[in-house]
Amino acid sequence: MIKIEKLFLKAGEFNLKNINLNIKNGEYCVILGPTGSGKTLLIECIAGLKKINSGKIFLNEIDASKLPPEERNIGYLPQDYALFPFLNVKENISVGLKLQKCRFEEINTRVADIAETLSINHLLNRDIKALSGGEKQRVALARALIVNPDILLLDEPYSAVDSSMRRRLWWQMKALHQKTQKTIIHITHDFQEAFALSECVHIIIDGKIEHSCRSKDIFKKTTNKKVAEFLGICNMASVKEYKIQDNKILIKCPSNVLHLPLNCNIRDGQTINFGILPDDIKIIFKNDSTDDENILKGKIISTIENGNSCELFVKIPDLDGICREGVIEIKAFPAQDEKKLFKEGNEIKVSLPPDKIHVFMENK
Amino acid sequence: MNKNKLFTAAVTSTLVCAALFAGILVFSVLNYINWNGFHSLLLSKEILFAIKLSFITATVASLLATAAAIPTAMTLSRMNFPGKNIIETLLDIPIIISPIAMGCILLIFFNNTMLGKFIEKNFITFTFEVSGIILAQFIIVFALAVRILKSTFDDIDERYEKVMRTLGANKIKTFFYCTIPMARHGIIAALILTWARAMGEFGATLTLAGASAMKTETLPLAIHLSLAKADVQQALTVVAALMVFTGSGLLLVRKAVKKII
Repeated sequence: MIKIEKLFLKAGEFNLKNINLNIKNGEYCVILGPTGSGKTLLIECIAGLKKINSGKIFLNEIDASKLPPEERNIGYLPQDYALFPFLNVKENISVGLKLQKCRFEEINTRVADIAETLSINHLLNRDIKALSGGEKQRVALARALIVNPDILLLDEPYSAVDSSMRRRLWWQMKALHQKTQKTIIHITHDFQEAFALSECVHIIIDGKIEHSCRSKDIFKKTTNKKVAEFLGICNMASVKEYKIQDNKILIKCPSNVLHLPLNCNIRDGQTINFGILPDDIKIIFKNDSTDDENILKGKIISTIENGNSCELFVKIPDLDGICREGVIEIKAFPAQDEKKLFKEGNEIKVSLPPDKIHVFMENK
Repeated sequence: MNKNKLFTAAVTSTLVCAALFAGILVFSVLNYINWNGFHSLLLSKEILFAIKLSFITATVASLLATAAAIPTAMTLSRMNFPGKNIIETLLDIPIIISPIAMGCILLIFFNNTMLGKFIEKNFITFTFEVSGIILAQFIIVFALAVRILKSTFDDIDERYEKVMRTLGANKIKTFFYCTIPMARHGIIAALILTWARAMGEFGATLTLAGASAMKTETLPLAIHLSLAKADVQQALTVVAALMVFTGSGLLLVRKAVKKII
């Protein structure tokens, strides 16, 4: 188990602030955050590669805050893998065992085992320069795993591979985790990756853990504006005038009343923010039933076709002054005959389903 | 001619001009030498002594300077501390000032200061001795080695060392198993350049060790002594020996290094 209590670290102008984390044994945990949010610094603190200013790090209930990296039994896979260029693949993988002064036969057996697990047997005598991105990733993973670490730290492990290879490697990693049951902390800025691989997600922004949840709840339980913005909930609005009634927030617009879910504690007079993902906005066609809520009329001002999907920018007069000059972004997956409706200048009707609207408090 | 070709021609012509100029200089020396007496002059006791002394002192000085420069450069590259800029500037002094001035500083240190006198009296005598040649060469080339190695260590991504630590290596093992192999090109470059520079060192050596024939007579000092007694043929023979000896030494090391790396 990994437990981090009130961790503070000052690194130049940047700070890690009051980090508290609990990660269970065998859990696959993702630390998700934008570039420069402090993800790498945090795992370097866990690995003992950065000295923390205050706080505690417990690894398997032992206070490891002051232990050097070589005594923490942690496997580390850095971004770009850092494979030693002066060693070939086999020598790279076996470095850790040589440092432990293992016998030659044992080194050979364990290298063969891990190479078999990660399907890299054919690469063992190759030079590092002759490997592809995906191969390098697996070799670096083998090097980290061969010393049988309690915890595996992965720093953006798929940033140097193309998207199709990345998806294949996701499933390989998932299978590897199921087989080894190692505790894994994986950092990334890609929430699809977080969603695909992890059981729990901690979102870090500006050196602070802003949100922790199970990965399946990543879009459901977001009650923080910074997190929402990071997750791509781009249709953000803020209002000061609203009414709370029957466990709902009511916002009066010129020709309608918007109904928002009351999913966080709101003090009277406090500004609230709300947002909705572009894919969660429903487009109402003529023949659709009219039991949808929060129906608004607007005009398409711009269209971006993107393969089988389409991004629409729609000016909604009712949202003028509430949401970015009343313009919202909608992601639609139109059928062939519906595409002609999505022309610039066309009138359109949309619904903002209340259960898809995220309400956030102002960040302090 | 398009702009790309023009650029390539301009860049290449600089190299051609530099090589031509160096070639002309070498040719002019070789052309001036009286080849009839060259062989006997080259194998004379004095010149053979100068070749042997230069080779030994330059090798010892460059090995010591590179060995000492590795931890110095590593500290400067990896650590930040107050006064770092001042220390770096102090270490650069032998590069900034002329070697003869550096020799003066060393002479004053050993003859006029308590510590210098104490070292000379109780440990080792440097002034007007072979050890003085090694010290003068060491001081001059150490700064050069620190510059080369600092930029080498600056270029090594610390992530390699971090990975080595997580694989179970302490700081000492990380240094020997990761940092040194990663820096091998820079270390070899430092050895080659410091050796070549030490072979040609004159000013500091002359001031600290003096120019005693058959005692502290390195190849550059042999040229100086030959010119002092107006023996131009002997001076040119030593110049040719210095060029051939240093040049072939560098060529051999470069070839050997290419095979090793």
